[in-house]
Amino acid sequence: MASTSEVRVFARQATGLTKDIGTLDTFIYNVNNQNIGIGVAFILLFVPGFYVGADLYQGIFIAMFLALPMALVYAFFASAIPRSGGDYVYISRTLHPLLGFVSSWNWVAWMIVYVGVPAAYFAQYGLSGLFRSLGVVTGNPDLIAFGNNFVDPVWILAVGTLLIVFFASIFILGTRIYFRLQNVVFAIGMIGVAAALGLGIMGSSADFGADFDAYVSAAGGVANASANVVEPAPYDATQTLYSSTLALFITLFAITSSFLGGEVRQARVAQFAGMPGGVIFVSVFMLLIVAVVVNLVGLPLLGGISAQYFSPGDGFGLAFVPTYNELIVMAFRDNVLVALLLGFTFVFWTYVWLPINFLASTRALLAWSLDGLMPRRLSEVSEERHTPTVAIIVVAILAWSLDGLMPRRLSEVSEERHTPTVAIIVVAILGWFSLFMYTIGIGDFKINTLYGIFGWILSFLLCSIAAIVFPYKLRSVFESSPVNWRVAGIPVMSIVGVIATVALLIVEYIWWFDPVNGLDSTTAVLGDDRMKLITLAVLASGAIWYIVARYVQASRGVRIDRAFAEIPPE
Amino acid sequence: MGRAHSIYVVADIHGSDVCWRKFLNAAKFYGVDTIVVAGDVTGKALVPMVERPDGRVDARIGGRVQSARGPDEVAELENRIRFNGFYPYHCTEAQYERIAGDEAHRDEVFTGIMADTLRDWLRLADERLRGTGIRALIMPGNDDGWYVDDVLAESGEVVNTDGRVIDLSEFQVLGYGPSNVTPWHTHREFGEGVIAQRLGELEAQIDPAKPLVVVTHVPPYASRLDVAPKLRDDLSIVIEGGEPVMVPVGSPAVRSFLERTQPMLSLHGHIHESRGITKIGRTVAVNPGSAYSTGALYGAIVTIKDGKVVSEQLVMG
Repeated sequence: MASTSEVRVFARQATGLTKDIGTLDTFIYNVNNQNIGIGVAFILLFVPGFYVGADLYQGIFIAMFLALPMALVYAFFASAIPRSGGDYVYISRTLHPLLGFVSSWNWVAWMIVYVGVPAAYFAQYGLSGLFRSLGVVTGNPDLIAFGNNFVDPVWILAVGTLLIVFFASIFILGTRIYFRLQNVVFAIGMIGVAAALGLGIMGSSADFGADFDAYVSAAGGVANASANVVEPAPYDATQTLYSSTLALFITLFAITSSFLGGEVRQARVAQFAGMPGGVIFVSVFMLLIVAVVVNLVGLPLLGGISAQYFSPGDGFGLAFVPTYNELIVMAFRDNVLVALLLGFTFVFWTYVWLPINFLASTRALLAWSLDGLMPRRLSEVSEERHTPTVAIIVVAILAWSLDGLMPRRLSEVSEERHTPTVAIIVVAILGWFSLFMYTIGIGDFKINTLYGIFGWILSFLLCSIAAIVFPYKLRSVFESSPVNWRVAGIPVMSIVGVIATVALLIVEYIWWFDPVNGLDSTTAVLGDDRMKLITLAVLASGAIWYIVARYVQASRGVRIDRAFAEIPPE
Repeated sequence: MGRAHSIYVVADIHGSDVCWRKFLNAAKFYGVDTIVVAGDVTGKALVPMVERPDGRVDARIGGRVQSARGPDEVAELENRIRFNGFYPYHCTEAQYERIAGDEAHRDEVFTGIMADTLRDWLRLADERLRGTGIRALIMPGNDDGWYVDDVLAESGEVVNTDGRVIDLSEFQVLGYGPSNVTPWHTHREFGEGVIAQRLGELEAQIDPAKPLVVVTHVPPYASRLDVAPKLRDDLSIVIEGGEPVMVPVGSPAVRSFLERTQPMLSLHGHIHESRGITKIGRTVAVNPGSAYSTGALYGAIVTIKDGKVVSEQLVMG
């Protein structure tokens, strides 16, 4: 009876029975979005100098443990309803369509902010360090001066604008070009962090002070720059907790494979390895690189560099303080190959979020359009849709301002390239506005890198609450899913949902009270509650949008609330 | 000015019992006049429920073997299998060994179960729809064996639209279920030339004075309703940058037919992941998509009035 002990399922010859998207693909997708390079750079640029007494490693561990339950929630949902394409549907179907839309709206609002911000990183952290390090190792002051330009807000804006236009053009031509590029770019980025790890280990910590002085001096800075040290303060648990914002900025975003949809057919294995596995992998990688750089440079000097992040001219006489990769370059004096390898590969981490958030925003806009949350004429197609002309841009802007809802042709898709041209242009314009607000700002108001995360996490919280309810509200779906596990009769998904909700409330606490990046700290920085109001306004505007769209559609006989309403089977 | 008429369309329910039951209730739930299945009603997999000598029943669900004891647990297990669009097959260990080793016998058992399930579905449809005035148009798709036509003909309430032009007083419906050639070599698929010829024959039956709704299982080529993952010869999905590469796989013959005849509405299915609404010239074209294995019934509601589409909405019931 050996054959019956296995018990197989017999499939007939039918459409759609393909092989799976592998676990490795899912894993890579999530690791890519977490951005190891920027994570390590930010942790080392900000924690040693601004979180006095914080433990660098514990901060990363805290971020990993707080992000893991949420990654599990998304893995559960992606396994249970793999074709639904993300938390817009999870929340709409489990809690309420209004909450699903508000959550999705919130996602898109902050994703668009992080279309503009990484566009700025490209010049600010990528090109600046690349050209300065190349200038130093080749003894070329023009290259150093050229590199210094990239921290000027106008230059950042100009380069970021070009980058947004570049990606908008790529997407209009078709996403296949981007995904082909992205394969290569991800490989280059990973080679870079692996090289940083290896070279950091090989570098001499004993000689680093002298190397640092020589480099800074050659870059046009002061002599004896390594004297700018900040001795580590005694351990402070609260500061350590707050410092985890920098690592959370990375580990909270290991959930993008939940949007991959039904092609991940071994969803249980792939999504659980891809999301929680991605969090662990990236956290470990960040820990290793941080440890290597701390060993090479020493915490006192890292503290000094970090403390002068906002005033690099004062202590170092530089236009900007070095990121970790530039620090490692210093340990290999005059080595052009190392400077090129680390500088060039790091550039590819700086803007990673731009195309990912760009595409995800565009997809969300299309999903809303298809669900009737936009005026009906959005779906109209005209003969001119093949050409993304200035006329289309004008139409988009005019429609945006006059219509009060959305550009009417947002959901148009090029038949030749399958690209939603108008939606791409709208995201590009909004992303550029975010870039402008990050670099130039309006009056005294600029967007700080991490200000938006508090608001973004509210969507994760809603999804975690939905995970608690899901096994009870959609019982038959849960029971027939491959993740219908129970402990003491309680669905594991609900238990994980509770844990994730508590973890995310802790994360929100951190992100509210963190004196450097917390939302509450913006009141002191800006002198008023603008950032808090914007965070609130994003949610409120989503709700208002939904209600207005529902009213507009109802006048045409279309009831939006039935888009997600479940038909009773009996 | 005529009255508005609403159509609810789904496709690719592939043996999902819960989707079928939802479909039958959809007319009342959404308040529509006509309900349509645009192809592919039968499922893809047979799940043996093997009864062990000790009374335990084993079945593979969600990639792992699950066991049940007693009538309640067995019924629960069977419901889980049906929920995913699979067909439960109660068998002894000896019967299991026979279907595992004898392909011809397995096909016979499989076809018999699919036909019987469809008969049960149609009986339920007749019960629920009789006297309601709701019109139910069901069309086989490329994944449905030819026996499905005979089973559909047994129903008093359901009309099979495949290969026909049907006059529904307010408008006429032209149906065509087969698809173009797929990598799976399914039951009803033809080359583009054959599809063009057959659609041309049906075109001759159209009343040019009456609004037309075209229902073809395969969507028009390069319409955004036909975007599917690109496959290699071994049916594995081509991945670039961690994402599947998507390509149009619809029928150029269907597209050409729609461009030429310009019906007010065309309804499609076939490509589950390509849910959407678009326009082919003046024709509003719809693919409701499918997620039958999750129990969610993807559909679209289209309202027509005076020969024009006045609203369309994708829904997830």
